[in-house]
Amino acid sequence: MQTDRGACFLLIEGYGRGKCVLLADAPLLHYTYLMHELGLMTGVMGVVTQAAEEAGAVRVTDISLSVGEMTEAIEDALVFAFEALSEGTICEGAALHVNMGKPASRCLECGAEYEHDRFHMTCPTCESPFTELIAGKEMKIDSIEVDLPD
Amino acid sequence: MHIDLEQPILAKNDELAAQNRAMFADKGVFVLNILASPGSGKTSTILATIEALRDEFNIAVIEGDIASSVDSEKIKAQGIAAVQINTGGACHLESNMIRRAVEVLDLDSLDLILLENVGNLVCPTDFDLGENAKVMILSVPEGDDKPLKYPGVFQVAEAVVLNKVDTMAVFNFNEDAFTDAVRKLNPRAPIFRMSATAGTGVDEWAEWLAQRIHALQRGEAAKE
Ligand SMILES: Nc1nc2c(ncn2[C@@H]2O[C@H](COP(=O)(O)OP(=O)(O)O)[C@@H](O)[C@H]2O)c(=O)[nH]1
Ligand SMILES: [Mg+2]
Ligand SMILES: [Zn+2]
Repeated sequence: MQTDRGACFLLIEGYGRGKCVLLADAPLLHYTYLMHELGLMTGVMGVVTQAAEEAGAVRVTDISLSVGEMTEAIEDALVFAFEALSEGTICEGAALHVNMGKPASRCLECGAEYEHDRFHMTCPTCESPFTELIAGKEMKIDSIEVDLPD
Repeated sequence: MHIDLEQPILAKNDELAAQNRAMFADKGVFVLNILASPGSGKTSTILATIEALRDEFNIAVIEGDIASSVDSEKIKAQGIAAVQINTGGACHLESNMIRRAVEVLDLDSLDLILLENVGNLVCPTDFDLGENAKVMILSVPEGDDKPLKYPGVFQVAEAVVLNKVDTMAVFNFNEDAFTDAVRKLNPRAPIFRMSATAGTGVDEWAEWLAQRIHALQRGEAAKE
């Protein structure tokens, strides 16, 4: 799977974890091969699975995430990664809801707060470049819905 | 049944990054996370930066690549400590990799660690490593439209290096359009025009970095 944003979403078999050494003493350090959204969704699955098991659930039916548009995560790729990873797990078949959050900033000079797109951060009120992002970078697991045994 | 979780997806990475940051602060080491595409000149820029700053600062380099140790061999050849991380395919460095990489460095004696992230304009921007600053390098042959295609990386960078300016004419690079697009995304970041291999513009860039390191070191002294 490829998108115009250049990320790749292939899961290739992992490597063992080696030791990290100064180069003179190779061997090299290897890390498990997980592309961006697969890496993100692996983390999500871990948290969700643990919470569902602690609740004694038999099945996860819904997972809700909030992802800011200023992050590099792509909704379709998250869904794709989730489907690939959830097969055969307690999460299989769950609906993944990704709420993409609009970026917003606060002007450090005039205090204005405003929504904007990924490309324009400047304050629309006073045109100051001194602004701080207050939303749009979040990547959060909000909640899940689970089925309990009858 | 409804279960509220309210948990950051990257909670583990962020937690370890915060620990790295505290450790670097404790040791007074400035850590620079360098983001750029493959072939844009990250390694060349690191080599030029070492040349410019090695008399003043003790420097080490952490090289992140999917595979190979080609880049860290080049750094080692300059007599600078280099640790190679092979991500084995992962598209970015994560804070746990940095933690393990610095275990083999003598942080007490270092002033500056240069991190060459995996060549990629997308994924590394979301992963905090515990660095003091992120900078990004764009090389002229990549085209002046890259800020429009990869806004995230231009937005998180505290400085932008425009490398390979010696090739400007060949690639019809529209510098005004580039500067304008960067300014809209990130009005505060300085843009350094550079040719890492020819050595042009390296001094201005190195001066900016040296000032950041001095500021950190002064902050340290003030606390004591
Ligand atoms: N013309 C020109 N070539 C450069 C410059 N900087 C790097 N290169 C060349 O670009 C290629 C990739 O550079 P490298 O530093 O390995 O890029 P990296 O993959 O980002 O680490 C090498 O062949 C370098 O010699 C530059 O400023 N001008
Ligand atoms: Mg390199
Ligand atoms: Zn304003």
